Amino acid sequence: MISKIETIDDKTSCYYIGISLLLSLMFLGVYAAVMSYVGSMEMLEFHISIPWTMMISTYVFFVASSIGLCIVASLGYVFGLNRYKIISKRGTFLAVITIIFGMLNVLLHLGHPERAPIYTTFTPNFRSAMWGIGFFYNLYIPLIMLTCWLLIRADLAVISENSTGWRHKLYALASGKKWLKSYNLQRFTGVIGAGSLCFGLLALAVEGSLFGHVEAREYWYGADIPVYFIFSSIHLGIAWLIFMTIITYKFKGEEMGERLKKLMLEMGKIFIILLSVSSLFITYKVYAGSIDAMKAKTVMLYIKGALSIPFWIFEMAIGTILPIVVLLFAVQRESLNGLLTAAVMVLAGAFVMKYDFVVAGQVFPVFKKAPLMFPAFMEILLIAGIGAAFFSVYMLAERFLPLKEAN
Amino acid sequence: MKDPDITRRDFIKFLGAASVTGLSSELANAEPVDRYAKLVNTFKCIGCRRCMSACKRENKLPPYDIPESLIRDMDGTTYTVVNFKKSSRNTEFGKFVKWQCQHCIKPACAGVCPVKAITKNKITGAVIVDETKCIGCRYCYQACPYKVPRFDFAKRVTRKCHLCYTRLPRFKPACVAACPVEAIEYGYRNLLLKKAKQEAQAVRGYVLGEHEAGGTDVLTILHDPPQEMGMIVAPKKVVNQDIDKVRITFSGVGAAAAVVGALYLYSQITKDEGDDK
Ligand code: SF4
Ligand code: SF4
Repeated sequence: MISKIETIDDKTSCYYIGISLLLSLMFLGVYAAVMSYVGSMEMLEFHISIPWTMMISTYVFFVASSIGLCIVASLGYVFGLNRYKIISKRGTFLAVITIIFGMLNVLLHLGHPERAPIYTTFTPNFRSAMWGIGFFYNLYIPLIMLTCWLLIRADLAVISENSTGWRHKLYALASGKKWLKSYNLQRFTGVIGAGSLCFGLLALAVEGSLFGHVEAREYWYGADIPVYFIFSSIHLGIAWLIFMTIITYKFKGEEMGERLKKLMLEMGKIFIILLSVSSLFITYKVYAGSIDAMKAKTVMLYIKGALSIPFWIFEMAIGTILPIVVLLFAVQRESLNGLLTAAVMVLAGAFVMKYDFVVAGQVFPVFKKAPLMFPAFMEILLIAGIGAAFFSVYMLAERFLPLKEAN
Repeated sequence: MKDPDITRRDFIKFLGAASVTGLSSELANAEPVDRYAKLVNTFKCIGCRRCMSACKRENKLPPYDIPESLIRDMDGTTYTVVNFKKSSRNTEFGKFVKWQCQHCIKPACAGVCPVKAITKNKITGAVIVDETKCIGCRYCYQACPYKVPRFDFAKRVTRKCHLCYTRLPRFKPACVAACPVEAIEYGYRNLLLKKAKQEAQAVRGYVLGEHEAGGTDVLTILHDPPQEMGMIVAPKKVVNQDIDKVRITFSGVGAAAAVVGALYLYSQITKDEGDDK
């Protein structure tokens, strides 16, 4: 059934404050990007010997989130679980915008982004994981966009029918009903969705390999990194879905339907299992690293060195242990606020975790003693701008696209 | 000119090799009759740093903001540095160590560059970054065992020593030509390696580059092994081998397959009535 389309219409003072904040952050982000172009890109780095910092870690965070969202959403349209179909639209749309904003990070980090499409096409290096990433994302991005469009086009047609003038024409065009008459394309959506899932997972495997291949970076090197990238993306996907769904309902002041609430709680249970596995993986990684002569120095940065605060407070406490406790209560008491709190904590912890992973890997053997590894001010502005643009696009989509779950 | 510097005979031999292997553009892919290399003898170096200035001049790089003697590390416009290093075994004496791209025989940097902007000329030994192709991703910096390729923030590309490849093999690299005490030489690798081993044996030194990173086309006679000299230590094997890359990527592909399998199982176990078959 196609639901009635609802949008954000109540414009409270909180809404205007939020919009002003997002616009200001976006302005600052554009300022940082422009300055890095007209000035020097050096202002985006806290140390010239650590060239991959927050932009790369944010990119990794966003693309892993995108694949995670694709994995969770695919349970509905690929694996046929009806209860998951209600979150398919929001899930795939979030997968689309997370990958696009993730890519924006990396494009702004490249010295010459304009050359990338030319030379990756005409002089590809098949031995390079970076080339592989580009190849698989070039397949994943159009497919996940197509999946999203297939999932919402029937609703777009409904909006078109219920409206007049340019709005009618625009939504009719967006629904593509002129070219694609049938709305019963479940099987086709499933196939396209399965394609996006496969290419997304392959892209993430190669993404992990980008770090795993680098023998000269002992902390990154190894076959466990691609595996961890894949598994950790699932709980990121769940965290994003819980966070964005609950926050949207709260922001709009709407009551969540029973089916959706039940699904949120089901995802909460899976979340507990995944976080528990993740905590075991972190423990294993710290233990294995501390007894590995090559990795021990970097692991010590985490345990009692320059990264000990982000590691113990953000990665372990906020990102892993506390969310498990909060989730146990939330699931038992059927508390959406509990789920939301846990999701926010996991996202914050994962963001810091990716940053730590990226910068920690670059400390040795260049430095004898780790430098202060706090990101450069301009880089923070740029990332804040990208984050604000991400939320703005989501809000606009929530306003104009039929992402709402059928209750 | 004395052996192993490039003599007329060497050059004719080189031309012979080139004619066997075809056009000069194909040299990079041809198996060498004998490869060239550079030898740095830290026992001869007097620390005058003329090589650093010659490199700047030859490559039209912007001048240093501070005296050369205070430059410690390479950057996007400094391709070579000379640092005074003391061995942890023998702290009484120190040596001036000229440092630059080691021009690995199997360069890890070239293996990771997504756009093939880095190429190795197997005869002259030069590992060259094509600055018109480089997208500035800095993956080569991460992969290099010596952390050599540096980003030039003005040009927004990665740059490093290219062994003055346009001068080779007819002329020597600018640093070699500028050295007043012949502490740097350029010639056939096998002859230079033989000479380096003999000289190192005489002074109980160490030849860096014979095995490090699978062998490099820059050889350096050091007082002691690099770990004793406080230098970056590269493994004595080719780094970033393709077979190793395949192994690592396949672990991820296996994990991806496991996720798809787990999703299928989950969908089967938790299937409700009315769910799609
Ligand atoms: S030393 Fe580094 S930059 Fe030079 S050839 Fe080897 S891997 Fe490439
Ligand atoms: S920075 Fe340039 S040379 Fe280095 S890997 Fe990237 S594209 Fe290749």
